[in-house]
Amino acid sequence: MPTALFFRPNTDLALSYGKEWLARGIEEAVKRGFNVIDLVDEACTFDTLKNILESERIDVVVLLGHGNTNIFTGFEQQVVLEACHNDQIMSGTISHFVSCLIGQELLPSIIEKKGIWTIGYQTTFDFMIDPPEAVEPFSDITLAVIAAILDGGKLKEAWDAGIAKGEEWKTRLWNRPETWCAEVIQLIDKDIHGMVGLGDKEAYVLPPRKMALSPQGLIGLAALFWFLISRGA
Amino acid sequence: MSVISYAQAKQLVLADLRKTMGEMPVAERSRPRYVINMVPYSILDLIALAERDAPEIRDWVYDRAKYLGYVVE
Repeated sequence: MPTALFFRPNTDLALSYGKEWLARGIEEAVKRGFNVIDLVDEACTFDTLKNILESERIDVVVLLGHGNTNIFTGFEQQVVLEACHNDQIMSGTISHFVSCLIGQELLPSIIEKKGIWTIGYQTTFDFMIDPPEAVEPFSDITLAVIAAILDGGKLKEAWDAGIAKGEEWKTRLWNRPETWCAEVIQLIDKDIHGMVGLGDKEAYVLPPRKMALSPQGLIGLAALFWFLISRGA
Repeated sequence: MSVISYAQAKQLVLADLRKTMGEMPVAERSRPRYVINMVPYSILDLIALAERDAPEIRDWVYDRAKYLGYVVE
């Protein structure tokens, strides 16, 4: 069964929102039958991430944290990944980073170190938290990318899913008269233009196989079960 | 789109922010509303930072001016 690793530090107001968005991603992963490893708060360090990536086969990694062009941080803004320094631990992974600016240097470096593919942001990732409903588009964009990865989407499909969700929200808010809607549209527009996808265009996460039986199949299975029981009796 | 300087963009963005602030209830003006580069700001914070050309929101000012229909030099 494939495994999804979620990395969700929650040490300030901004990250507390991202942590909830990734929790929705975890629900989707569980629903699809993925094994889930959920690193939260103080577990979000380089050492923990490295240990897990080295000891388990991880199919997809979704990470939340602060970032700049070449650094991604975890719990209490401790450095977790630094371009050309320790990012080789991400080799062999398909990943999505909810973080600012790392698309400029860190993500290209991860791909150079044999990361399979990755999606993140080359600009700051900005959103609105007031009024509360203003958060929803940004949560949905993040979830759309995660869901596409979990569904076995390739790089462009996952990237497109995030862009499409952003566009959908822009359309939905376009005719609303409230000022915050215009502000949210501006931020969605900036975020989706800053979303980058790098790496192998053909690779994907193989989703867990679901066993689906037709009614005839179920009847056949029941008949077989009855036959085996009756023979044993 | 019109090409303007950063100083002009700042003035336009400040005017826009003040207009937005004017539409908000007083109690909400100091409440965190925007998360920029993963840092929360109220509208009053943003006005104060924009007024003093704070580097942490300079890119945001560019973006906001662009969204208002201008190209910033």
